[in-house]
Amino acid sequence: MRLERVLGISIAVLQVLFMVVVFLVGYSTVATVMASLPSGGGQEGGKPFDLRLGEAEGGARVITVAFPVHNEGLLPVDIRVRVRLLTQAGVVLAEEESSRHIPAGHSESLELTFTISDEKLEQVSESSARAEGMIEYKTLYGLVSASASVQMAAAELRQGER
Amino acid sequence: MRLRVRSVVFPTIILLVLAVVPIVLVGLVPAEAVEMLRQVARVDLRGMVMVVAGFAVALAALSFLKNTWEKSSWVHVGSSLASEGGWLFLWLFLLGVGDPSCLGRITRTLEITPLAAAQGTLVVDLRFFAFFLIVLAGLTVVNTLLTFNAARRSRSKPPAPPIHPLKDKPLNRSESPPI
Repeated sequence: MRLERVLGISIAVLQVLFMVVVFLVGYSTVATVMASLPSGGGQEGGKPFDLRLGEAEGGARVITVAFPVHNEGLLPVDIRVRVRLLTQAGVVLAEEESSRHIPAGHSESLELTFTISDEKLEQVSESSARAEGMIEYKTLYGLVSASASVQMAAAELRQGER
Repeated sequence: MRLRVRSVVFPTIILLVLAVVPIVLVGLVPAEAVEMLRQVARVDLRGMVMVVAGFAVALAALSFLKNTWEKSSWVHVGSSLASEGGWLFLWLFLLGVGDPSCLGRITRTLEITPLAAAQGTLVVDLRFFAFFLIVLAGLTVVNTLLTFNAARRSRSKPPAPPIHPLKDKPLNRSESPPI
């Protein structure tokens, strides 16, 4: 067979493969995002996460943030969530990170638990303190990724909590 | 498929898929959703669709030229290469959501309206697809040039001399030559 014929067939096969991969990634991403958003996930209050406040021994506060993720797509996905509380000067008061590998058709909950002492909580309560949240999504074995990060004043977070 | 049929069918498909259908679909999207997308992620959906429609017209014209001329002509090879460049640029434009120069890595500052003091950043990494497309475009260019070369060679080859049915009959060694 001539070289240009072999090359032509290979190009056609690669084009079909490209379209299939684009469809798989697109479908998996849209299905996972739609299923994990508040309307699909069923979280109360319209938030994509569940926030719980508790008290540990010695008066320290325990804050638990849970992100339920439903992988309704056709490819496995990797999810990483990080939340940090920082002072205006950038000093990290609390930091938690969690990551999960979620196979297609499965659901997992990413939970971050912070234990903050009263002293630190006072610093968080100051208007100057800020919270940082980052969520990273990877699919197609890490070849395609997306990440969103949000920074907000701690006061805003406390408003949203109410 | 015959050249004349291909020169009509392919440009029509390109115009339908890249110009008519997207314009109709965007027309069905509620104006609030388009505005929200523009405000939150800074994506001008209507503007993008109009750019893609412009590309569709150019690609349809190139497809018409490509399929009208023989493979051995310079017009065919020129329009094929230009068409390949156009398709690559269009894909990178779509992957970069309006910015082909980012090569599949989109970074957008998010405007989160309910939280006035909030700042957000969205990073989407589609460089794998961009790399795949560039490799595919490179292979297609090589294939176009090879096909062009082969077509020109077969065209410039002198025609085979006519064979005389009796004179050029293959010699049968077992037979004794006529004296």
